[in-house]
Amino acid sequence: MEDNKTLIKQQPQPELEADEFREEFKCCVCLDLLYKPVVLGCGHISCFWCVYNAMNAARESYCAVCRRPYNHFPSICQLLHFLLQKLYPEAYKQREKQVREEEKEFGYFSPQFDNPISGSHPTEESNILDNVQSKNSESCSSGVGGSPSLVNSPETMLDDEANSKRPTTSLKNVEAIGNAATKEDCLHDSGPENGTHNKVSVSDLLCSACKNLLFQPVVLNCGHVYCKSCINIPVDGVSRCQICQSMHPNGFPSVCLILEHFLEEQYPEIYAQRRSSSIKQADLHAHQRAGQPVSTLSEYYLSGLSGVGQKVHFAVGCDCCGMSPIIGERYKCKDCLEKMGFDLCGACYNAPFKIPGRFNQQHKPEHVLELVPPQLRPVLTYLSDEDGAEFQEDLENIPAAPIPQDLELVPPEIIAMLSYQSDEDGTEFQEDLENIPAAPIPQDPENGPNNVPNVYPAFVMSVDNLDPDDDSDDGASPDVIQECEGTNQPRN
Amino acid sequence: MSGGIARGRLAEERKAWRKNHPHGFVAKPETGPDGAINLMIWQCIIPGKSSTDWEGGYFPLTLHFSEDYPSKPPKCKFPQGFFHPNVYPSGTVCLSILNEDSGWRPAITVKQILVGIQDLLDQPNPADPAQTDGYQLFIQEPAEYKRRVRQQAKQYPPVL
Repeated sequence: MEDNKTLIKQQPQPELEADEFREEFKCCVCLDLLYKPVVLGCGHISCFWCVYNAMNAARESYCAVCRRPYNHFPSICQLLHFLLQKLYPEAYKQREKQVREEEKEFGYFSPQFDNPISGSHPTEESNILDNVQSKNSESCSSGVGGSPSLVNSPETMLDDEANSKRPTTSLKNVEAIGNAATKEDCLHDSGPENGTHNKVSVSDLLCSACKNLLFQPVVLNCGHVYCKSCINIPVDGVSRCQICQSMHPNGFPSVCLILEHFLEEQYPEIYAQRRSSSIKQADLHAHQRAGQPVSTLSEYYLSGLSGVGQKVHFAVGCDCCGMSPIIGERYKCKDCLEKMGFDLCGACYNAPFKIPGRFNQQHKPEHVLELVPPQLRPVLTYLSDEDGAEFQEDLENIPAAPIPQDLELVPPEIIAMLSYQSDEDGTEFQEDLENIPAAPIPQDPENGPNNVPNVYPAFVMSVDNLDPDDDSDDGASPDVIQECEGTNQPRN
Repeated sequence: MSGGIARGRLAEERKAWRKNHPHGFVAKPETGPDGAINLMIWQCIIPGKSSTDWEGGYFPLTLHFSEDYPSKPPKCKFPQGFFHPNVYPSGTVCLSILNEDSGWRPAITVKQILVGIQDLLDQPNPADPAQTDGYQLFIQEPAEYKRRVRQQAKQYPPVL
């Protein structure tokens, strides 16, 4: 697309110096203020596009912070979205403008939100489609997505929530502190960010279930936020959002530490109260805390790739649950005209879905969906642009072993890609490797041959990539280097 | 939207680096003969840690970023023939955090990369050899290894 040179002068970066924001709200991928934040199951946050663009088209993806594998693109966390919008109206608006320009350029769009009230319950509003549409046309003409209803009083908030279908289960922890929220409603002015904080109130930070100030917030795949203790995992191991009934895949979500720090700092008293009252419940829920293993993800995709397992739809994500790439059946909308298309996985096709697409598609209930077999075309299109190298490399890293005997099942192109060997990096790597004598790597008799690598370093490393546990769920701490350094993949 | 986030991120990296960076390190985007800045290639200097054999050396390192950065790590290269068990003869550094499939995470910053490589200098990883020379001396002749490291440190005195 472009050559490797860039002139700084051609791409003036907007200066946000005057409008500083909390370091914690910096996206760890673009290093800019989080915009339309998405929270992964591990609790780490990035911008909508930063997550999407980093997702792997052929198999599971990895968190940018902790490398935890996932294959569902979560919905935007609207609570955080509106929080940031209130905290940093100027910087956020600037980001909005910037991102919208990029979106126009590429022809893909992120979801638009109307206002904090309807926004906080994206899927229960029957008129969400209309909202989105009107919003879209409005914002196109005005260029700026103003939010007239930024200042929402706690009353309206509560009314709105009262109208929502309150789940009848698992909400036994509404305790005496339930009303504490209103007492400490407005933020102290002592916030470090020049007083903008007073626009934020406790009512912006309530648990979707217990309606108290969030305590140990976890964000589900659908973007709704709960206290950790307010979520139950049923026996079948799949948790559903109590508001929108969306499934939360891949195990129990981890606490979003950045949001927790914010809550703790802004509402120390309420938060302490919440903490002391929740200790009683801790034991009750202890057995539910263990997340489910996600290590099987890579196996799914590997077997799918090789044609033995379920179908894998390259570079296609489900517009309801966010699974990407889709495993199993894929239903494609024949009537959506957006470049992004509109697709559903089998499970979401069969369940009543309410989300109007992940990319602001104007999908309507009367649209017709058709079952589509896995296609190679998207892959080839993908390969033909400059991102192709990435894709090939990815495929290259897939062990060649699982190619099935019945080769008829596998399109020849896939086989070709599986055995793809040399790209730019590859050749250099090969070169480097050739310079290393393979045989006479000295063997220390005391250590025994086991401690001596008998494979090339390149392969040592690629073997490691399937180990899902090689990074624990730590924050994005600067000392992480030491940690990685220490575990510099010694293989026996 | 496959829009390149690389340049935006690198501009932010540069901003952050200018604000604050570890002592003795240098990291700046390449400047062409016409004065244009190429954000995709950074010329860096990593100081050897004090009280190690690497002390006194200011080792030049080039970071090559691709359009896929930060999804993919930059390629980090010392001068060709750099003496270190985990540096390929081409100069490319072999380090788990710089490998997309093992340790790389887009959240790793330029600062963390450089500090990580500084750590690697004095703490080579014998499980991942990348050159014969450095590896064999490190394993078999510690005294000679030490001598070579010190000699190399002298080859790279501080610039300025």
